[in-house]
Amino acid sequence: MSSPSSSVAAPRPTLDLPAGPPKSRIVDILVAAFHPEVRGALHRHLEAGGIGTALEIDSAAALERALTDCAEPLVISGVRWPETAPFLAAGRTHEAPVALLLEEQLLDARHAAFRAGAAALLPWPVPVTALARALDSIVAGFRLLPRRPSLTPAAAPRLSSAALSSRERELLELVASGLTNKSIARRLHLSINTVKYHLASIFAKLDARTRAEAVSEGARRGELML
Amino acid sequence: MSQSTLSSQLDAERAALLERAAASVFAVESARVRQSAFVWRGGLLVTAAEPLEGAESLRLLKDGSSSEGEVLACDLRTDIAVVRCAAAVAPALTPSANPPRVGQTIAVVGRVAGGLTASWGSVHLSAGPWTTRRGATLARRLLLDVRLTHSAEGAPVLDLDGCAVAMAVRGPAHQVLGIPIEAVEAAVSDVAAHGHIPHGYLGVRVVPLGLGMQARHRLNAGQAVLVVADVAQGSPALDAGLEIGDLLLAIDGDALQSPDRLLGRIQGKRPGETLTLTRRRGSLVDELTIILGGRPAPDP
Repeated sequence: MSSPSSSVAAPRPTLDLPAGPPKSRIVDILVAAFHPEVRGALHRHLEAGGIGTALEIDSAAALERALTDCAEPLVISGVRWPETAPFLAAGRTHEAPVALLLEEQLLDARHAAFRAGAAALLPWPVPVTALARALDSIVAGFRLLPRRPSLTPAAAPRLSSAALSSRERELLELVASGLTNKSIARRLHLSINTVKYHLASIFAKLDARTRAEAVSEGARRGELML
Repeated sequence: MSQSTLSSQLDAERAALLERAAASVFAVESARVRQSAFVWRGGLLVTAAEPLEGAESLRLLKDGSSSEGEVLACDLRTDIAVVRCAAAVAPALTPSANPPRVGQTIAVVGRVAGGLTASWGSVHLSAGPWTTRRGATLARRLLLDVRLTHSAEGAPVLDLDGCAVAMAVRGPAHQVLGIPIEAVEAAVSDVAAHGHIPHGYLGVRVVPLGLGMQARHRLNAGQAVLVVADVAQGSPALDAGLEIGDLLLAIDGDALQSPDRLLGRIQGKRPGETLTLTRRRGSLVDELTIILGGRPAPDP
């Protein structure tokens, strides 16, 4: 037991929680995600790691309400960006740290979520022990990024629908500017068949039948830069 | 002069008018569509964009001859498609100098593979300016009281001098819309100069955020607002100070409830035009006036 009055020798850097009343974790953990299966999976993970129980939240409005009620909230959200952006925004408004558990291909220090002030980008799925340590660090005021995006087992179960690849995004932007397949092929130095192949994949992922549908669906899902 | 001479004279004049315009009007055929197009300037024709459904090559038919046309630009905001066909040598139509008047007599001159089609009618409404469903701002809203078959969509609308006042397209609820000739001219000029029709670009990705009752009240907003999820490097949005997590409440004073609306408003404008966003950050609400840029060219 350490207390502020005890005369300790040289201070030692430590990653432990700040000393004080014996709080294993007094923070309130809020699990915020739109999809029930994501919330459930995150919650089970927290319980399995003995991290404690959390409040499940399904909308940004509910998160705002919960944040005003909590003394020291910590928000955990996932697993896709940008659909988690509203939770991050809500957390930021209330100055609560937000940890995002994201699918592997989204982990990057340059990621928009990190620039936007996410307290941590963690891989989904994350080992239970790593999650517990990460949460401790976040509560202590640190920001976290994985050293490289390979902490996770390869066969990670995917919880979300397919997102566009960066090439597909690029193509969708050109479709949005009204370019024809031929001019898209010219711009990107691709063959017209490759363009058609990518477009078919985009249409399938966005569940669109026409170019206009693909563009507006892409905008709706935050895949398209406007 | 007897009444019969008067009406036959009128008929003859109308026929002559159609005859002159006929040279500029082509039938359009692709795998999926049959519509009409007209020559606007050397080698460039215009037709309706929406029914083309992304078709890139078309057949242009007139008087038994058939040539290949390449769709250069398909602007769904204004419903104008620009088609290049070097082989379609034909005189261009003259734009009308006067804006269409309500009640004015007009003719829609289309073409099918078999020959010319024409419908006579009048201008039902001519008031402007007007923002289309897809966000483009047109000089005027033009509703026509005329029959428009599918095959005549994209056909020119002529006044009694034989000058083009608009392009005829089918609107919602069986309305016949006229796309003003100024918009046609602007689109063709853009394609001639840039090879495509430039769209405005802001440089944000947004996701909709549904609001509960309390939040709606507090934000003084509708069912949803937009959250900025990403801001592009070197974009107008970045220069204007937009940040990830900002809430966008309105654009040019109109509530912003779906990314679609924002997309339409941005794309409906041209690079260099401005728009005003109502932004909320924390408890602070402010208005940003932003000059739109053009979408940056992708890295090959």
